[in-house]
Amino acid sequence: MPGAAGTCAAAQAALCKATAGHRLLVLQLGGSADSPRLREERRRRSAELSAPHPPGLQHTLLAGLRQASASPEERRELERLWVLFLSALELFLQDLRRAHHLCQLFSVQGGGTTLLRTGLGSRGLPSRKGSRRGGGPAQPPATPCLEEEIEQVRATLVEMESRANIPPWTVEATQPAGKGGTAAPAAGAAREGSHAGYWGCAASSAACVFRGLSMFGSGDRD
Amino acid sequence: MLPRAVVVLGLLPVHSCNTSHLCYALQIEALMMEMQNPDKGIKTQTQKVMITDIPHAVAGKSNDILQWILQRLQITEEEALHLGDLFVKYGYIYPLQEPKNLTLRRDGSLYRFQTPYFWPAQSWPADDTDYAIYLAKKNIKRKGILEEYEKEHYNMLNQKINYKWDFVIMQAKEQYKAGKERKKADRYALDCQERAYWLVNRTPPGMLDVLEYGLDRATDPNENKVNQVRQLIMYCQQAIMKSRVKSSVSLGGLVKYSEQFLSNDPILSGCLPSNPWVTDDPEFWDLNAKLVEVPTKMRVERWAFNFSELMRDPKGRQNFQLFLKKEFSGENLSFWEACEDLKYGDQSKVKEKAEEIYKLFLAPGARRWINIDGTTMGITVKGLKHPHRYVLDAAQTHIYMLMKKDSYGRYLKSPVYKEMLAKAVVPQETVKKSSNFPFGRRHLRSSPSPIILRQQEEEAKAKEAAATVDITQVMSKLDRTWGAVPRLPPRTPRGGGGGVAPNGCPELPPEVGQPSRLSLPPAPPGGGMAQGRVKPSQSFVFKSAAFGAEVDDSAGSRARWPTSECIQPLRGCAPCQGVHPGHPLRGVHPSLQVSCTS
Repeated sequence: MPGAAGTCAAAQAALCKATAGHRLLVLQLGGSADSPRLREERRRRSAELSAPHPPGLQHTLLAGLRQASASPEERRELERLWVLFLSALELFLQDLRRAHHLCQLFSVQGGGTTLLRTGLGSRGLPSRKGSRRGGGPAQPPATPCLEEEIEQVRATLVEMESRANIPPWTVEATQPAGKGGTAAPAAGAAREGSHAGYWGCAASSAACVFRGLSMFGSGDRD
Repeated sequence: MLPRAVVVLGLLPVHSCNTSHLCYALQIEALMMEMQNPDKGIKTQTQKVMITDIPHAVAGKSNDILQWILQRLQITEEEALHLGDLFVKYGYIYPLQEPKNLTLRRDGSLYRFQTPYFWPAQSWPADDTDYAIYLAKKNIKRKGILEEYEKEHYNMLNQKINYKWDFVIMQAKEQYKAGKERKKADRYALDCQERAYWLVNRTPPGMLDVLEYGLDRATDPNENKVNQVRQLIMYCQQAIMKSRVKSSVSLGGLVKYSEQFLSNDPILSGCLPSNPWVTDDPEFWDLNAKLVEVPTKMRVERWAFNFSELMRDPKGRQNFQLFLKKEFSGENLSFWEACEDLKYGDQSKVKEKAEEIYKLFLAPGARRWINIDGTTMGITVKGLKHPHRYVLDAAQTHIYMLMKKDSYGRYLKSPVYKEMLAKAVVPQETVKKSSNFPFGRRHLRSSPSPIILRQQEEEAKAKEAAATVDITQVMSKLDRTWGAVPRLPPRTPRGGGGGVAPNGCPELPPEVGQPSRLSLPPAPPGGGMAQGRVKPSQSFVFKSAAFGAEVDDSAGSRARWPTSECIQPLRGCAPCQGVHPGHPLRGVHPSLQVSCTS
């Protein structure tokens, strides 16, 4: 399935984005920005994450990997995505656990225990525009509670790890150690590359790391 | 590690084998939450950053944080300052104006509370992946802004978790974007928070890493909680089982000891002739040398305090040995000294020493056989298969207690001791010579070299060993002439005291002749010991007559050593005056000895 890698990559990107948003919300738990609304939002996001996304991505990846006819590049790509997916899941699970702990510590919608004055405003939740999915009926009627979620994600993780035997070290990063990635526009890459080149000269020990940057023109020095 | 204040609060740390100082974390968290209380908590103000106002800044000066701690915990100011400082170091509060300087300053600089997500708790240690994401994010935000050590970390992490690197970069970008959606003030606060967190968890070089466990470090202090608890339970159970002494009893013992030894204490009671440190006159040391000819009276009196005092003093031991020889139990003390040498002497010769001791003292038919009970003998012999410095401990203790309970009492009443006491000298107190010549060259003499002293000791020991009269030697000689009528040495009357008979057999002290239920008739040379094989229920006394008597024993019994169950002191065991440790016939050949029960 030539498109499998592409679909998976897209799904992976979405997963990353959702995880990052979720993390930001968990960060604010217990602080001055904590509010019932925040918690509601967090719950919503994690439900999104733990329910539909992983199975879809998971199945696609699994299916792709199982296919023996896949080309070696395809296969490598799928493996890479696999590892990335697992990492994302791990991070998400970690954040779920922290959220669970913090919700217990600062329980009852933050009304019981005094929240820490961390300097964040309670308004200014990230806009829901991009993250809202469809309408009401598409959303699950009851968001599962945290413990269940944690258990769910954990189970997924375990299942994934046991199903496909992909040693993580076989995956190589496609992105260089500098910033930017292969997905960045060329102009942006060039701009970033110059800085990375500067780095490469500055630290000789990092030279091996910046092997991929030679193409960006090491002549560009600041 | 945390000051007394935490203990004052009643927040005692959980006993843990891995001394994680973050057991205190929960208690600090509670304090943090208390600080938020609108009425009783800390007042906050607004921090002005450029054009934005960021609320919830707390002033650290002598006032807000410090005052609050002082009031809440009722501790001294120094402690409060220290505690507040620790709060900052652990990252519960972070400074706003000088982020890298994690101390609590008293000059009004501002601090803010860290969000609980970033609290230093052990449930989630600061992850490498997280750190990588943070660094990548920082990179994206402001290119090239990473510090040197951060760059190093970054490169190292790139190699370490290279397989995840795409994810790291992706996630960093997403997090950056997510943050951008917030308003500026919030963004600023979030950045500060995260930076503070990583300053604590990935300390820059040169900064104190408070999370470093040091030598007690465990990779994960929460690991194996079950084992930790098990060990704790075991420890507590053993602590409960420990024997206890009432403090009144132990204090009474201390008082008694102090009273007894008061007169002997050179500092409290002065010393005669004079304190060498004061008068520069070393006569005191000379008079109290280890094996001086004539000891001081104080020293001799001290031997009477208790048995250990006697044994500690080499002169005392020497005198005691003299006494024991008269009682024919000299081998006890010799054995004890040999054991001490085994324990504390040259360990490379342990095997040889142990063997020698065995041959001399413990083997059946040994030249200076000591009388210990069968169990102890069994244990000792078994242990001697693999000798080490403590292998003779059981036997040594046995002999020690024997001497203590039995011989010591008699020693104190003996003429040997009394003589020594009479001989002992009381030095005159010397007056400090007024030095007219302060810069005069005093003739200082160094004490004799320890090497020479040791040589002298060894010579003395060897001499003494050679001179030891062994009854067994004599007896065995007599044994060999079995069959023939031995010539009995002329017998002095039973009431005779010391002195050595012509053939070298020491005289028996008067105690021997005490009547008992069953006694051997003065045996004719040929028959005396015919009744030597005693029935266990009977008891014997060996009269002086038996001393020179024949051994009417079959050869088979020669090797048998008595299973003497009698260890009681002679006094306490009236009917059985058989072979007791203090008994005159102690050195008698085993075949002559009989088992006796009392």
